[in-house]
Amino acid sequence: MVGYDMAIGEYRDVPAEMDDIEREVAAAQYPEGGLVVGLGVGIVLPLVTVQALLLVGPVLGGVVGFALGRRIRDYEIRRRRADRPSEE
Amino acid sequence: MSGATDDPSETLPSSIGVVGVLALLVGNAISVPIFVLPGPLARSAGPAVVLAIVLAAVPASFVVLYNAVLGSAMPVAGGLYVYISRLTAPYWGFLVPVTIPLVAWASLLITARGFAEYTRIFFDVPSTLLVYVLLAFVLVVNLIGLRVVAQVQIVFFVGLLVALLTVIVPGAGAVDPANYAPFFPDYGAFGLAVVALFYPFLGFGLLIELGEEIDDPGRTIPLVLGLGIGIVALVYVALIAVLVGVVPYTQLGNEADLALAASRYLPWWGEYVVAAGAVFAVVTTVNTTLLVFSRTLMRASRDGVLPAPLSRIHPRFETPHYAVAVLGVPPFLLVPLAGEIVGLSAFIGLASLTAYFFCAIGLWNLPREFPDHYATAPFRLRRYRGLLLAVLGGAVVTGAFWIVTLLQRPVVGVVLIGWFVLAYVYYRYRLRKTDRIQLYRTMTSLETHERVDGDAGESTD
Repeated sequence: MVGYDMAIGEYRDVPAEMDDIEREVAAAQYPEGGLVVGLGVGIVLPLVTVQALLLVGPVLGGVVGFALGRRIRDYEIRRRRADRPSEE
Repeated sequence: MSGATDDPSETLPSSIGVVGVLALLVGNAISVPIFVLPGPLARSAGPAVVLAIVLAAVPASFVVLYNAVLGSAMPVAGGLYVYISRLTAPYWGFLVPVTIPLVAWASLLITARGFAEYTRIFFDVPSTLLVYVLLAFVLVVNLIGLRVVAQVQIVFFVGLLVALLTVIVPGAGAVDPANYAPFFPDYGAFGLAVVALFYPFLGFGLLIELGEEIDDPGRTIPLVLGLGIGIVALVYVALIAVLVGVVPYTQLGNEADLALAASRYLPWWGEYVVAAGAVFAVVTTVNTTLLVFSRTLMRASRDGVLPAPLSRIHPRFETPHYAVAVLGVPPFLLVPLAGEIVGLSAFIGLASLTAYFFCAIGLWNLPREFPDHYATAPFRLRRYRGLLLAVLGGAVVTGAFWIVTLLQRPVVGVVLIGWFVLAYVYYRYRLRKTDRIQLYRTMTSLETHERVDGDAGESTD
């Protein structure tokens, strides 16, 4: 079939190479969501503690959040693959 | 994929040429900051606000560059949303239409406040009443449609330029150099002024949002961007230099301070000329604010990531009336915030530059991911020279904006990042309401009529 996917960025997986399970999980955008939540934590914590931490807190929070998001994404893909045979 | 665009009733008419686009662009940019922001900003930042507007032009130049390349390579309606979602990740693109209402509301409030303060020079009418009148005017005009708006825009643009020249030229001769000292009374306020004064340059983003509606976009977009940035930067610096050079900054602080300055060196009619220019500027701004932003909401809705009614076109006016309502109605409830000019401007500047940072990443990916689009673009940069510099420069400036804002107005940064977190929750909610695999495909691809031959072949599923 002719699809609509186009590769979109070095830091992401290529949609055209994904199967439907990977697409379904990728759609949830776990790494991106984790990055934003991490950024938020990295901003709010320095504001309520030591403001000088604003220079590193957001970056650190964002990186940690993004990494956690990738772990969640990988876990979700593994879980769905494991569930698939039993569903069939 | 959103097949909605195959329906002619859901595409907008192509109608704007070079002169109309330049009028829209410059008219939208030369507006609120010139007439409303300099007074409140100069009160705390002092004469350094002149330098602030020069520094604000730096990220604005990056934005112009992004717009020129992306706009000429991929002219599509809802530009920023499409570029970011297709060239980086769907969620980053989703943040554009989700954050746009906040930016539009803040922009309308600032503009309405400026309109009210300058109109009161002519008529002794309560400021709040004038704010509501303007908001109603904006809503109605934007519901009527683009063709009417473009014609009105050109008329007001000419009046605006006449008023500006009337103020700047005689004002240059009335400057007292002693008013430029001390130049930096407050470095923190100066930093925040740079962030806030990025807002006036956002008119340049208008261009790629109107991509589908511009005649010969590949040629028109780079041309009017180059002309537009030159005109706007020159006017901004001149007008603010006159303001702080004529009136000591300790006497400034009000939205209508340019009229005060004019009264110092022009006859009795001077302040009325300035006030008329401000009203022209305000009208040109509000004529385009909802017009542009509603297109982005419409495109996101066509993709399925926002509710379907937002992409519906009014059968008579051919405008996305629901999207316009989402942007134009809530400000009526937010009028009490209209006095927070500096905070609102900083919010707009920060949110917008953040979006353009993702746009820069998308620009870096463009030659690899859509090579045929990039190959056919009239305006291109070498990937490891110009493009790399544009991306790194954008990243540095965006980081600096965030740090300055968090240190000077932390509530602005917290509100924005909090909104992004809420947006993620809503994004996940939207996934549950639709076919998530199909939505992911749609948000990582272009519509059929937007593709060029080779890039269409990149669809490899």
